[in-house]
Amino acid sequence: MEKSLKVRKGMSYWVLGLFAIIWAVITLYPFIITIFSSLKNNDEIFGSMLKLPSDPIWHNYYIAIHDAKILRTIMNSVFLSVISTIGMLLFGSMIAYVLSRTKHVYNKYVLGIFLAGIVLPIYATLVPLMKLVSKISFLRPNSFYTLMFIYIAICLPEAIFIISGYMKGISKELDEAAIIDGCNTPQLFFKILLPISVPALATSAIIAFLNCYNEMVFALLFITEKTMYTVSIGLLYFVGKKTVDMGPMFAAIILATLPMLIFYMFFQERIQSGMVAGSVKG
Amino acid sequence: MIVGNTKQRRWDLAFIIPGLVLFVFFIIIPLCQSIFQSFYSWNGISISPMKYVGLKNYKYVFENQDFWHSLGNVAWFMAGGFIVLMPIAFLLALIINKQYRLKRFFKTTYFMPVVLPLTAVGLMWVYLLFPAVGLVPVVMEWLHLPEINFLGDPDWAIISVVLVNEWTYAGFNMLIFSAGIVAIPEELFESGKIDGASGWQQTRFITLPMMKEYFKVFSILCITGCIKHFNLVFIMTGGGPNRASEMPATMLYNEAFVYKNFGVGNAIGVFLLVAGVTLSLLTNKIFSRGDD
Repeated sequence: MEKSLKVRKGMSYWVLGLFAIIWAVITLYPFIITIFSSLKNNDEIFGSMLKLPSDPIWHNYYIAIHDAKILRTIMNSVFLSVISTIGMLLFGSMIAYVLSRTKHVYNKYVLGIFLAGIVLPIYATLVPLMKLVSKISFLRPNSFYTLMFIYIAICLPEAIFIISGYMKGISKELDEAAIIDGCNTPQLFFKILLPISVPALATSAIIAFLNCYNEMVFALLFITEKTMYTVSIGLLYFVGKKTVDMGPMFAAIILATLPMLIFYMFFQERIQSGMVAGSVKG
Repeated sequence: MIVGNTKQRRWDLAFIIPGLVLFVFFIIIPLCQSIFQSFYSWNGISISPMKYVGLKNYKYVFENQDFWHSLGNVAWFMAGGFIVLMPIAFLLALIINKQYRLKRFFKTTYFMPVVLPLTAVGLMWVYLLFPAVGLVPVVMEWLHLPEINFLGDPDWAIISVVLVNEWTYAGFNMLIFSAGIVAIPEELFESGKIDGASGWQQTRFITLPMMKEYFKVFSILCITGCIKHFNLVFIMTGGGPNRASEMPATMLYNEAFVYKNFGVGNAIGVFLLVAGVTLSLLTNKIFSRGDD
């Protein structure tokens, strides 16, 4: 009895293990092929896609950086994402503070507005936003301001939910003590509550940074100037161009994913828990 | 008691306003405008006036064969979600909760595609599916399977994108199911083992029933996500070939920004609004009815 139990348990263990390895291969192999291809010329890519590059052509990376300006697009995306993330953190945590630690009548309406923003499909805003932006000279196309504001707005609801969820867990006696000691609201917020909330702030910042870096459609609409391309549109530039040199394109794909890959390696746990928490609440 | 102070009240308002104004201005107002503008025709040039056309935009949308086809494609996305994504994500969740030596490596790997720029992932797959020379066609040739022009064949384009979508998001949904598995008390498995349940039986009779809540979450996310899907279709096919893989959201984009029928784009936007809200309410209601 004891023995057969072990054998049967082993079965599911091995079958699942086999699937684990297969799915790992299915996930990783495309990236490996892309790395291979980024070091080949067209003939070799089309002739023997699966093989190791016979003589690695590092020049492909030079073309991707120099001609396709992929580093420039990465810098643009990083800049845009960092600024948007900082703005989002400031506004988001302030709102989260009010929603989680005060009992104003308007709290539930504010919450409702942000909830609506999560549920409603963002794509319905495309045309009106385009029209709105064209009317206001400050927000004219090809300014990072427009994208920054939009990114902050898009990232706000999730950040508010994550941060206010965390702030609810902080003892309210802290606020009372601080106020008795003569703190005003900004002091209480910046000096006491924010430092305690760092874990939640970090999670929502990481998620926001990731979403901004990977965002495509708004960048596509509002940036037409090539020097201001973000990563996503820089790459889109390659789509459907079959006659071009494929090697540099694969090199560009690798370069564009590299920052996110490094980011992921550093913050894996936070990214995973944050993304799931955000979506499940939404 | 602590909210008495007027000074404090003013501060609280000041804290809310910047973010709220930004959000209302860039999200809520455009959403409302899309409803209003859907009754107008506009060619996108800012100086040319908008013309009131009543329900014409809606008529155009609902009499358009491509639009109904795009709803069919939404159905493909949903089918893919439940038939392909759900089982795979559940299996992956089982895997990362078992005692494999490579557990951490598996988890990291499976989730990786989710964090990478979707443009990069989509572009990569376009070339992996490239007829005759891409990875997938080459592997299929080895296995003596018939040749398929994945993205070029109108019948296959949407299926290909759906499968790439499941490949990308399997790791994400794995974590949803994994959260459910972690929440099951260990004692249940212990007593299951004592009763002589095999690994499969434990999964079937303990894990699955205990995870109802998480299957609900998956279903809601999947259904509401499918109706508004945009990115991967846009990147990989742009809605083609010949609009065969169009989704409502990509159609909105193409009608508005490619064909310059901004009014039609808005009408599709309003459809997305209504459909999105209806589906969210409906799925939430259906799935919470089973709660009791």
